[in-house]
Amino acid sequence: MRFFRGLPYLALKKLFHFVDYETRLSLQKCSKRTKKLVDAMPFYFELVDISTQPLRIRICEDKGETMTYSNITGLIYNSVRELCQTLFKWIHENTVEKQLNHLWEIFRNKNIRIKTLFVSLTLLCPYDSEFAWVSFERIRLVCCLMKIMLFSLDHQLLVENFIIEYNENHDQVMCFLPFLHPEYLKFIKFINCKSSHAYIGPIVNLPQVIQCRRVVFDGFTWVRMENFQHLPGVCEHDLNLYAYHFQHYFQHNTFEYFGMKGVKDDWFPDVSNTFIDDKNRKSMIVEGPKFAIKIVHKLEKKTIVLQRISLASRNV
Amino acid sequence: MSVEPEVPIVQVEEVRENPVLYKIISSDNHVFTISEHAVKLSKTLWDLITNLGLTAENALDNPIPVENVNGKNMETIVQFCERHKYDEEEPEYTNYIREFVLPEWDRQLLSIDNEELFQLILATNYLDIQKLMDYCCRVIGDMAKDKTPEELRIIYGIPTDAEDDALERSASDSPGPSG
Repeated sequence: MRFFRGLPYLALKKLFHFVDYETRLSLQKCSKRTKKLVDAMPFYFELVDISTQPLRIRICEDKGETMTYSNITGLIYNSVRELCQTLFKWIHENTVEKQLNHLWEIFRNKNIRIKTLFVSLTLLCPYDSEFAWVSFERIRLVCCLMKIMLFSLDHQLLVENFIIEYNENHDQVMCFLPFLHPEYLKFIKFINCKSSHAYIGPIVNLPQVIQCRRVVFDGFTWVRMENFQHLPGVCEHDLNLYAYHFQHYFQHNTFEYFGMKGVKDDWFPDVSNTFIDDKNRKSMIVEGPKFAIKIVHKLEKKTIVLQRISLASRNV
Repeated sequence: MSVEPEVPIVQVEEVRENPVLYKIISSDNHVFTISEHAVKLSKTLWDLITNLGLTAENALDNPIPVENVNGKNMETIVQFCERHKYDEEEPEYTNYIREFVLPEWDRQLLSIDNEELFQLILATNYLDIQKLMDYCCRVIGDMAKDKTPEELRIIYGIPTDAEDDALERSASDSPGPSG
């Protein structure tokens, strides 16, 4: 019997494009040779969603929301069970571990590629101290287990978009982000859920953030602008930046743009050298030695956008 | 070209819009006529036609022998190419979307014996027809859905570990090219 009926490698590769994850698992069991082949073939997940309230792991193979493991009953059972445990204010560590083990089995494969990894570490009932404690303990457990799990892998995960929402400090982000392949990441979004001590200093210095094409910080208040000056493309939502040191950007030739949402209507100081641009927006241009930065106030969107422009276009 | 057709020419579709036709001879000497637009779907054939310098005037006088593809597969391929010759170029589907709609006409065309389908893939691979390759792989990918490892072994022709070991042993025991 000829292996895969003699299909050439290119055809095999294409065939694996249409084989779902369940079938790959079955193929792995056929023989050692098929296991090697399956492990070598890339597999693409549309979404891996890890939420802690209650603990729910959703893995979608494509936009049709295919559930991996076809374990919808298991997912519902686990969610209900977790919710009940929250109501009775205790955490069943085995349930958490068991669910994360499924994930580990998938992540062990070097050829797994994930379009979006969404991590939600939000507190349930933050104003009820007992509920909040159960929530916090679950988050802590999930983060610890994830860190151990990701650390034990001999490779970094290939994730295109990483979105994380969290209540606490940067430690939670550090349980995930350093284990993602910096060169594969295209988009990162940090969503701060009303925490006043969500420091971003250690995060913005990670290679994953530095190399990423687009980074969004949402809900961070009172952030120093210098934190972002080495990043090529940053977008900020609902923030109060203090110390606008635009001049710092001129020291980093990688600067592309910087956007801030939720700014006041009178954002430009009175003494600014502003003008109204061709799109009727209040603007200002700051010149540096190699390029200039155009600062535009988009009133309708309550947004300030800093964009790199060439010195030549500034003169036009 | 010395190959004389032994069977009548298979006129797959009357081509009104484009007068340029090419003749293809399969490995078992069946002759097929295919239009220029259709033959362009096969990168291998179109490269061959370009390299041979075939034109509208001399195309029918110079049949192209394709020794790796038999008549049955060639008939399916010609039907497919004629059907899809005016299709707009589809955007390359992303790696994350495995689901695309396989048209009913193509599903019917590819509703053939398992072994024949694999032979068709080999022919498609040789002739380098991307769209047909996608469709064939989709069909054999669908075949595997919800199947046990045993069933998969039969569908895809996967030897067991013992068979693989035996094959490896016999390969290592057999004398090499030098004897």
